Amino acid sequence: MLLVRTESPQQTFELGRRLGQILLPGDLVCLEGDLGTGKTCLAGGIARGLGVTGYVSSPSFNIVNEYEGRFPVYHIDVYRLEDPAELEEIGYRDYFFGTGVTVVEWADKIKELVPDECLWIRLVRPPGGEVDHREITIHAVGDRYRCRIERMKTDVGAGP
Amino acid sequence: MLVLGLDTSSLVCTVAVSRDGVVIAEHLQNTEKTHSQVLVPMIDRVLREAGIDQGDLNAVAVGQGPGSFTGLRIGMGTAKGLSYGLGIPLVPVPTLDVVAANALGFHGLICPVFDARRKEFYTCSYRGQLEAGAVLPGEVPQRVAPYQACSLEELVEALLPQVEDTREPVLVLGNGADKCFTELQARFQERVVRAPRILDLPRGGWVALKAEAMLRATGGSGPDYSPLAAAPMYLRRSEAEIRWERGHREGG
Repeated sequence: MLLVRTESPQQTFELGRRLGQILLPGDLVCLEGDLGTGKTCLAGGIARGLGVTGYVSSPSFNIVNEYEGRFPVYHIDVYRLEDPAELEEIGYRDYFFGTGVTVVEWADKIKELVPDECLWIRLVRPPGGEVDHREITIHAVGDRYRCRIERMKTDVGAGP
Repeated sequence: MLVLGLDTSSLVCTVAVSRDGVVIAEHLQNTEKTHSQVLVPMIDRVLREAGIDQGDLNAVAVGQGPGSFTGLRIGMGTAKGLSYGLGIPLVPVPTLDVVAANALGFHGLICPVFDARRKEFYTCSYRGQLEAGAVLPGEVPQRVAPYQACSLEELVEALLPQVEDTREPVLVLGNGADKCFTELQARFQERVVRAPRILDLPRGGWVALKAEAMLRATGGSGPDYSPLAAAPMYLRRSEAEIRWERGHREGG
């Protein structure tokens, strides 16, 4: 597990960018956090780190946005889904088990469909903290991601 | 009869044109490239190489899956557009039939297995024997089981009676074959055979030929081959079905 404290949306984006640089085809990143905690901001950073150059918008309405980076990037927001099974119809298996990197916002709503291995990131606004401060915990679930997080630790060690 | 056949239900993108039971041009790309970028230029190329104008086509045929939802939608959407625009029939062909056709002539049970992810598979079984002078190539192999989405255990169970009732070997092929073969071999030993991997890939040529056979069999009076009627074969229950069932269970 890795805990990173950021003090601005720019720092959250930068954390995402560094994370994006170490992701590989087939990786899955799950984001959990309340409205306004910076999930889309972090996802945008991840996409940038993966070589996506354009603006990354929230997929709240489209549910899935696709980008071309070093490999395909699938940015998914499951907030509007009423039932995890709706994700089946969208064809989530193509994304989760495909050759690109998938980032899922509100992943806690589809826990039963999340594979055994993933990067699980929780974003929290610390109580009593500054309005832009965030505590971001990155959990590596499964061996596939554990060594990746070790690398992150040395990267982020110097602070964002 | 000129038929354009295509299939994008897996990582493979394939397009072909057939004329009266003969494939005259065929392309296949197995490179994990996005179908939405590859498919239309490939159709264009195949028609050009075959020396055919789209206006000369008599029907469009599309592999309807089961397979990748995104892939299916790209293939089906493109085929519908062509069929609607040209005013010609759209014939959906199950991709399991298309891959089974690769093993035509095999004496035994032909068992295509597609990877549905999450340790699930799409499968079906066929008999592929050719009898002298009997049938058109598009009509065999003959399907002997329902199309199904299943777990590895269910796949073994489904094959069990067929393996025990006959002395025939079972040929396993398709993009899920590698993921299930060890298990099938442990259960059925030398009775199962892994097909050469070149037979795993769906081919546009078979899509077109199967469609020709279907059109001939019905003589134009059979099923509705309009572009509006065609639908992908997802083989998984839709959200609506799951909810309906749940609602009925809860309602007593």
